[in-house]
Amino acid sequence: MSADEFQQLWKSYEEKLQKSMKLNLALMEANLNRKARVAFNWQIAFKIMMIGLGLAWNIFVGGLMWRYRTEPAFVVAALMVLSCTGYAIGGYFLQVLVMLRVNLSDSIVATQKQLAMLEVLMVRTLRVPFLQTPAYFFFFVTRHMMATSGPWFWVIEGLLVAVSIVVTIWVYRSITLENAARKGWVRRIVDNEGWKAVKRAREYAREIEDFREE
Amino acid sequence: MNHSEFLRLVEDNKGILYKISSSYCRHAGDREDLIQEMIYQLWRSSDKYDNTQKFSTYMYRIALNVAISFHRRTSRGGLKVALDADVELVEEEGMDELDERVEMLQRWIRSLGELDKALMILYLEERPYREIAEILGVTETNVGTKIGRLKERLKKQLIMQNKFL
Repeated sequence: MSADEFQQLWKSYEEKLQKSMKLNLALMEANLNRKARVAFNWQIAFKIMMIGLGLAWNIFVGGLMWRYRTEPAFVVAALMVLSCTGYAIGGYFLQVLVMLRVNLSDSIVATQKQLAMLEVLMVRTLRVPFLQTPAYFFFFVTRHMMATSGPWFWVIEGLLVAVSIVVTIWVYRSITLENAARKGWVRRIVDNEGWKAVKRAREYAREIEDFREE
Repeated sequence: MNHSEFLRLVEDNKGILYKISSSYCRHAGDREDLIQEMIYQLWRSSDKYDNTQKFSTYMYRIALNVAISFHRRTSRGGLKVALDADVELVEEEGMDELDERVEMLQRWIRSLGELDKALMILYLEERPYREIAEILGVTETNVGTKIGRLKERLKKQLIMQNKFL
């Protein structure tokens, strides 16, 4: 069978479909109206809400930081929280921008590239705030505690902070797509919609590049 | 574009939607969901439709973009919003020879990468290379080279199956 014959076959099928496929136009119209009210915009609204919450949290933490600006441990902890939350706010903001810019009537390569980028962005936004964890292990250490606490306090506190830093960095670095296939616990953490999405998005981004370069 | 005009254009071009959905989804239920999603996205983007452009070109772009995203989403088990069935697809039972041959062709298309699928569909739809390049966002030379390769692959596949010969 030649290439032309395939096209002919496809054409005959089109003619058959035009006759046999039924579209319920009335129901379709009702669905269009209903779906338009609830779909995509909900996601944008959710992200805007997260930006609002993040800003409120950062204003609160920033306020506390100003109030306790003479407490070095608190200032360091607050700066960690502010930067991680700030990153998440930026991430959500970019997601909203990309979502608003995605135009399905644009070329397939351009649109799919934007959608793949959006998925990567979504997962990164979820992952980075995890790095603020150690801040919650030392923010309460006041200058007074520093001056008066005995060696056991420092041993225990130092140990807690050190362990939290090591565990946080290790967990953060371990949560990679490569490890998802190798380590059971990583697979359980990453085996959710977000990580599968980013894996596919990356594969797909590669496919797009290959497609363009070939 | 008002609702009735839009629905008439969809009705006139419904074959495109079905063929694309069949090339991206194996199961009838998924095909129906995909067609609904395509129609919804076509309607959502209808304000971006330029009247100087052919409706089918605009339809290919949106339908293929939606199909690719839908396929990626559903193939990883994502959630879908079920709506009332407003699309009744052709019965799978009692497939005639034409259906069987097309199904075989579609099985092969389904085995391709996302973008190659889109390219093959547009080629079978007999779109000019220039239009295919515009829809996909690649160069005409790229389209020509890739179509040549895909035809070769198809030929080899069919020789192996020895069904069409």
